[in-house]
Amino acid sequence: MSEPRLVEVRRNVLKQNDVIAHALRERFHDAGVFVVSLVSSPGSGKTTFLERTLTALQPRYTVAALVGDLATDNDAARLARSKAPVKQITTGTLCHLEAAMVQNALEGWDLRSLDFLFIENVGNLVCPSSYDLGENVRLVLMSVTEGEDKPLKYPTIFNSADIAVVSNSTGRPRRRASTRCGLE
Amino acid sequence: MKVFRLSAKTGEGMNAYLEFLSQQLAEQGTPAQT
Repeated sequence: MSEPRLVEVRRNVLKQNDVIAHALRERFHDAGVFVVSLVSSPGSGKTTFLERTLTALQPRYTVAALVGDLATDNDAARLARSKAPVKQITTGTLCHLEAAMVQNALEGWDLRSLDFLFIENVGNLVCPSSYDLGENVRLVLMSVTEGEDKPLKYPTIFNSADIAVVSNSTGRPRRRASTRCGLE
Repeated sequence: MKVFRLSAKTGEGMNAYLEFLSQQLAEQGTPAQT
């Protein structure tokens, strides 16, 4: 008896998230800001990658980032070294960001002054796949050291992503890795 | 799906990804063709 009720609650939560995400997408479009959300496993180098991205883009563009984590503001502190505006979203027990969290975190920011906004999700390849954040593109990052079968184990997040970044954290980028894991 | 291979640690291979972002931003600012 309780199982159908749980399904209904989940549907309602996702529906509410979609409404907020739709409003965010319109707001981003009107402001002319291009929004990239990043998802990956914990410890795959997402923050390093984002820090390097922010630093590289800044001479030509205005950039900012929102960073999701269960606890601590360690990642926001790391990203602040890029000199870009960064806000931490602490999710507590939730394993993903939701559109309402993004909406709240944007309070006080003038989106029209930005070219790019990056949203780093909580390190997780399962839960974030169900939650639209109003982004233009979803980027999934995988490190070659995680194993080549990540896209096979987590098809939903890879199927919903627009960009895949295969990162070799220990050296030169390798074509073979992205080919063998089924991304190309 | 667009795939980029790079090293987040050294930055090698980042240029193609950054160029892609620049292109996406430029296209967003371009009025849709009717």
